[in-house]
Amino acid sequence: MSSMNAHGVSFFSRSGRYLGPIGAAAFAVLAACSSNGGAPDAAVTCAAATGGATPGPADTHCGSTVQPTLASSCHVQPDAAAPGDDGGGDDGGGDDGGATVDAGDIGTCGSAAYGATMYGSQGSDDDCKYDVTWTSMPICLNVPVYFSVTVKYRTDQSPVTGATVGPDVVLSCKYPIPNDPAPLYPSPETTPGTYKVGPVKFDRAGKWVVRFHINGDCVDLLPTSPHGHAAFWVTVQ
Amino acid sequence: MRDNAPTARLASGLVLALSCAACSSPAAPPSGVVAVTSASGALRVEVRTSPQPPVRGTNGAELTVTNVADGTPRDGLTVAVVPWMAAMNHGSSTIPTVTAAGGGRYEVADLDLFMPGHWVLRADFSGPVQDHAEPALDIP
Repeated sequence: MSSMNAHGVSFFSRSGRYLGPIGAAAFAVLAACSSNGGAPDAAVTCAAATGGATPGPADTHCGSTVQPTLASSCHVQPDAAAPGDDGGGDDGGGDDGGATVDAGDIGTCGSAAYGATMYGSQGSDDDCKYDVTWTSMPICLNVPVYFSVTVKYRTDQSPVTGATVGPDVVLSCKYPIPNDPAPLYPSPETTPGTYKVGPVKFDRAGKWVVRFHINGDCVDLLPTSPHGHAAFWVTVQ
Repeated sequence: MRDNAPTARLASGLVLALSCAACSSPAAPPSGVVAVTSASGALRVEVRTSPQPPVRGTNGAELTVTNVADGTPRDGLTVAVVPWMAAMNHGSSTIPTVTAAGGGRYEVADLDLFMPGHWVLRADFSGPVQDHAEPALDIP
């Protein structure tokens, strides 16, 4: 098991990207630079930011659609959900998970489970349950970064508190972020409805997809499931 | 340059695991190895991960595919693997890369199991046979 993968990196060195001594050291440096556990720090942790939200059209995919959620839908058993009912929105039940890069480059990598990746730093989740905004520390190549992600219910714009929030980050459908350091899961809630997501280390330049999962530990079989996901393009140069 | 110490440890562990696998009967996979029979019943698929056990985040995996009928390795297949969380109704954003390594072995790189829970590896086999298997991995 020592062949090279598509990136020219050995199987072991790619798979060994979990939190090891280097990750711990990086995390310690990051912690030392942080002023608190709250929103992303103003202190620049890299010489000059080379990345950020990818500019583009504002998200309007929900329009006036609002999908309410029910806490009781979080633990529903599969046999209690109607056949083919996969959580509503535009996530398309029966999806096979995707195995090809989408021709339209909407960042879903061919999977109908997810909606189109959004530009900028605000938009609604795929199923129109939440409105999501994010800010971040300066984004630089190979420097772990934290995102401050604020989630509000679309029903009344109240903060989504106590949620399990975590990131899923990939470049070109094939290249995930390294495990050193691995993002915290779940992300700590710094103020009601705002979560400190990371650390995320972008170790290649390019147009990354940063997908935030909200209540990711909730079963997502009913339209009212609190489980949601919202993805944004982040460009790193 | 990435962290090499874990790499060495993983390599040692996997060599040991592979050595143990060679001594095991098909019905009893070594500890930590997941084994399933394909949908058609014709193929046996064993999954080893690196690191072992798999961690939250990016892992590597090796699928060893053999014929159920006689235990011989099954080479020449095209293999596609999609990590999937059925209860969550989504998979990973990363599409793993699968490379044939001979001896019925297929190496899976960039298996991104980014959140805790029950993951199924939806493995589709094509080429000389069309088949499907779903070994599962649990991420703490």
